[in-house]
Amino acid sequence: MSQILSIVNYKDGTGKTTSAVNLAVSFALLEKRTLLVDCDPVGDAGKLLRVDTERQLTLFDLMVKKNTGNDCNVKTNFDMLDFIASDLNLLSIKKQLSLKPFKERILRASVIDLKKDYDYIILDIPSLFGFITYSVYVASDWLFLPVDLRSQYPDEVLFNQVKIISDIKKKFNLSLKIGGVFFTRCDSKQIKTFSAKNELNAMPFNLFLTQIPESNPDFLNSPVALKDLKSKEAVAYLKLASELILFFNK
Amino acid sequence: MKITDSEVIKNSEKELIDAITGDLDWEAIENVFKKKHSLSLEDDVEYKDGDLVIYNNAIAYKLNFDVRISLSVLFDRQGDCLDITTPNINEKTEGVEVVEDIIEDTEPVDDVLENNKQDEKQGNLDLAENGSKSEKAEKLSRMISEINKE
Repeated sequence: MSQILSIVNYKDGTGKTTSAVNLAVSFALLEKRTLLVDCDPVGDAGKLLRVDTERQLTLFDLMVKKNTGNDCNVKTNFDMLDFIASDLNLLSIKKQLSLKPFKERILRASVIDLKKDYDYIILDIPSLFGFITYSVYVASDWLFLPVDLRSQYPDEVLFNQVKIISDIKKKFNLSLKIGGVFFTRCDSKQIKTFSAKNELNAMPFNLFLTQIPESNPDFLNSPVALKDLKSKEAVAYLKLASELILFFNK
Repeated sequence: MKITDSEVIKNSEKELIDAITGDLDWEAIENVFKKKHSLSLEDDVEYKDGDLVIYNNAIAYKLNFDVRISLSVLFDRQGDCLDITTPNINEKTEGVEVVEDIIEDTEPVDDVLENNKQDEKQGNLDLAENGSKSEKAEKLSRMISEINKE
């Protein structure tokens, strides 16, 4: 069954977009029909994917002008990966939808029609907490939480993130679930210490085994698989994508 | 004897309800509310839940909403109630001078973040008081179980 998933962390700079793009590419390389939807008005996912989004219909058109997913999606360098771009128009979307009821559910209604065409739909969430971020939570079936062990107080961040999800889920009576946690920018020893200290192994969610290493600075402007498919970064994302596929098929 | 996966049925029903709510003609619904209950609804309408039901021996869809409405209480200088009305905020009530309030457009997310901040403070305070990491882990575990339950 098709799944809509998002990688969420309310802190900026935790690698949400990088993870979303590289996971989408990895799903496609593993021959899963994948759609990446850029929900960030800044449009970094498109830049990172190296997709020409000029003159393309965007998520704004899908949500406001009722264009179809087929009108808006763009082919990428990867056969099995399609992309829906974003642009700064998205900043005004709440105003554009102000008279519509269930505003926060319009993104879900827009992407749910696309589920039949894809195995995985990944929503790239903005850091800025606002209407669009909220809509992404509402639209998702599954949330995955990256934990950046280099950030300050990663345990507090994880706790607060789960609290935010809990509050949003209650408020909107959603069916979304937390799929699990994966670690970025760290080594196995750090993960072991952090997990033991915070009793993460006993938590009722999936602790993914693959850790995403610190990216080579040369790899930051492109999917890592396009730069070097055998690099440790590309291999890590492929492993994580495989773990996620197993998770969804178990 | 199971003949199909109950998860598939549940998820498909949920998706059906989501698709229906996403495509509702809200003007028509508002007209029904106006005609049937003389209620004028404001923007803050929240979908609660929906279900497939049987109505007059046929399948029907039942959607529950939380809605915000404006009610006016009119009373004289002696404090006696004259009327209770449901004014349309775009129209001035005949014979009554309306002072327009600015209705603050509070994003629902603000509530969530505000509650979260308060809980964070409380949580941090609790932790500082008893210094227990386990208690926090337990709370985290409880929240995740709650989120992931069917």
